Amino acid sequence: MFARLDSCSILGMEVIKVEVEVNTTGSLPGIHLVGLPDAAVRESYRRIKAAIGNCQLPFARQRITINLAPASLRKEGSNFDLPIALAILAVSGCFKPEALKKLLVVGELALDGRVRGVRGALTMALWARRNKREIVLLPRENLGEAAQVGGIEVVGVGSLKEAVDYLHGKPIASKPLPPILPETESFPCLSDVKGQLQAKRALEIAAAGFHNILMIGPPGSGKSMLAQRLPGLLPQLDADQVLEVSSIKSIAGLLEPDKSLSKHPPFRAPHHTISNVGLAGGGHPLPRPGEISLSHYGILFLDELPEFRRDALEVLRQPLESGRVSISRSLICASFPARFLLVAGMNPCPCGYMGDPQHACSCAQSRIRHYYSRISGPLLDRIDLQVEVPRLTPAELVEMPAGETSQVMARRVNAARERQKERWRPGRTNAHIELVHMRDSCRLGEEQKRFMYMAADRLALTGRGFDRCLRVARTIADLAGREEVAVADLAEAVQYRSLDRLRGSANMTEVNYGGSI
Amino acid sequence: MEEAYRAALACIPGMNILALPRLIEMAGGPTTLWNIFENGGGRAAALVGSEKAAQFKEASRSSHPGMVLKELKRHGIRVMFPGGPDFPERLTSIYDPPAVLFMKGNQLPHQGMYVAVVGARRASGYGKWVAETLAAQLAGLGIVVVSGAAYGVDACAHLGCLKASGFTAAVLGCGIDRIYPAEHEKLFQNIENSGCIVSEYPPGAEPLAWHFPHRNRIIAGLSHAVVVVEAAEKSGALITADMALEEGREVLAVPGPINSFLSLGTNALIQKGAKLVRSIEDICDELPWDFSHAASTPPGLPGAQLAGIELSILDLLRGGPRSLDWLSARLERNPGELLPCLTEVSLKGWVGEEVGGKYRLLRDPEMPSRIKSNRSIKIQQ
Repeated sequence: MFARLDSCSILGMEVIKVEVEVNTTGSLPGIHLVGLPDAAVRESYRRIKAAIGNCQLPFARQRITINLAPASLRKEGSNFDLPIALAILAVSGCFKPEALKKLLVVGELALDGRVRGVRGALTMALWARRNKREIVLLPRENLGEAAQVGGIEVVGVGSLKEAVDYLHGKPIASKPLPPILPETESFPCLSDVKGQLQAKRALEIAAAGFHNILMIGPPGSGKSMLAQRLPGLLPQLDADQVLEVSSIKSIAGLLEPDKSLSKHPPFRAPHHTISNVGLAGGGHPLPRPGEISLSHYGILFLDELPEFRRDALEVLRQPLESGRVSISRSLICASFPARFLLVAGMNPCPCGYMGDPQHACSCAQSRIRHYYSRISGPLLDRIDLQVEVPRLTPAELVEMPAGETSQVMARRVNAARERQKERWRPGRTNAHIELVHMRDSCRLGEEQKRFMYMAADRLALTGRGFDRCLRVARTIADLAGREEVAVADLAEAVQYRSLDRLRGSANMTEVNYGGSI
Repeated sequence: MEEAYRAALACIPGMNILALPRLIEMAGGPTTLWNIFENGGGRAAALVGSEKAAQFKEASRSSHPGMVLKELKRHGIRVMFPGGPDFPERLTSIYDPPAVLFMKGNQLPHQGMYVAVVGARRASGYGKWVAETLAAQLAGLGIVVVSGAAYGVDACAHLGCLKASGFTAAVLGCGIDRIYPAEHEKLFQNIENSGCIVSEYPPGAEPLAWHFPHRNRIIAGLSHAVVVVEAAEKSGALITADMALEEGREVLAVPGPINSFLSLGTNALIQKGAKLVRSIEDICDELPWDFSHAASTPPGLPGAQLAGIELSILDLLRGGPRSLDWLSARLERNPGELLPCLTEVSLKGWVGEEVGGKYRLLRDPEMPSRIKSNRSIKIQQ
């Protein structure tokens, strides 16, 4: 007897079709699993045997050969339990092998025959729709996410028995799906933060042009509060983006089963002890998306930036440039999308009190320099906005106005995005447009050029710094609804280079007027 | 060959650099002194004690003055000594001129004025601005700026001079091959390229605490005038000022706010009779040089018109450094309007940015562009 059905495996963001073939020959009973299975897959027949036995289903007392094709690909994970079990049942005469046609099956089995959830169900369902599959049979746990892909029949089973019943044509006696909750998530408002007008303005620019931003300020000045409020300024994701973002979450196993897919851009804030694999993605057996991919189309907040491991920070460089991260290992090569907005926070010095009127800074100059040197130039070159977030005195906290609400700012951001959509391709923003196009679109007049030459001279702007200013000025002009980049836009843009100044003074190429360092 | 012997003597391990000029004098010249050490015996013991004499005997026999000089030259270090061709004349006339000066970089100009700008290491933003600005203006007049390459005021003085493409001299309290403080590596490089670094200590000497007061006598000795920018009650800069007074150099001090500990030293100096510095003109007045040719082109920033809102910003900043939030609340303007103005005024040199996101007034628009110098007042009378 012979039976075959389709299952799949996930590599990076790709779904790879795996055919499960089962053949029986009439010799001594036994099971052979071939087709480059890894340990978890090789163990699967023990689970399958127990599950089939516990469900009182037939198990062919013959020599069973199970093949997972393509044979060259390493099969990993527990996705294949359910498809192998169904194929064995087919050759054992439980139902006709033809019943398995048109199906895409994934699922892990428990010893008592229950079906456990798998990661990446949404991604698989999307793939199935793209590849014209008719029915996806998967664990009930994953039904919620997979069902949100329309135009395809998705069947969730709670146990092996239910799967067999379904193949026999009986309706599944399952609990109704939990209702999909409408999204209620809302972000805190920027008006909760008092004062900090420059930082708020910088956040608005960051959201409008998708510019990376670095906030420098002493502990307790509100860097984290500000960062957490940035998602509220970003426009909602469109339908394709929602699926892409949710797909990544699904692969990482982070999708909540009873919630609808979020339209909000993600916000991730990993701790600074994170490894470079945790940040960029990777791992064994199958590479998982890292924090940079989980924050795709959203915000990656790295507080205490210099405390992050240097190699972890360096892996950010490629994704910041290309919007993707490639993970190459000896046997596999996977790629995840990673177009995120980097929000970094740091103290002005290791003790955190440099420039604070109430605390004296206790850092030696050498420590300050070392602290700044932990952030490499190439990484810094990719951060367009640098802004200081000073700590307010209690009196100022009472006195300062709350300022605009996130809603008002988000409206301006949306308008600025619309302008960018018209100018560039949809989905492209000022931060990621090629330099040539950027220079083209800015078309500086005589007055603007004169200003930039003066600024470059006085402020010792580097070539990179100059380009960064141009990008930021473009976004400022977009926010103001101007097609031309005005001198005022450029003049504002050069204000967002606080760290360059701090570094300059630490390297003794510039005088910093901020008291003792 | 005298420079070789002097350098070799200074390089003997354990040699007391401060006693060396006297030893040379007692022996009747560096060559004789070297020979005495080389031969050892009673005469050497009479000069430095028997223990050191034995030590020096061994050291001088294992090296050779010519070789020492060659080795120094290989490292780009030149040697000057009192009476030698390049040795600054003013330095020979101080109470205890160094027996030898090691030097890196360019030759000290023979002609022209030297002004020392010294002050606190833990300088405030104001002190740093004063040091940088005065140094730049001095450099603009072709005056050599002398300082000690320490943190704070010293570093800013060198930096200001370098930025104005002037000649600056750094006098060290350690061996000339050492970079102390280590963070000033880049600064040292720049000083070496467009100025010079000087030390009386042999290469490799540690930056020991007691070196620095002695180093200060060279700073004072090199200069025609010493300007103290910020100094606490007990500050090395005050030692420099004392030494300058003893050597008959002009001492000037920049006044500071009375509620800052960094003004205690400078304000006390003024009270004791040091000249108060209001601007560069006050320094020039004390120098024996005619600046009338330079006076026609006032150093500083191009005259710039200020728009209405810029004037209001400067007006508000007169009360001390302020944050953008504060300015924004007072002027009832949003940051998008204020930030371009702040860039304008800082590019025009009216305002400086501080750590902590604050803006500081650097020049007051009400201030006349030139303060009437006392000298010209005298001439008018």
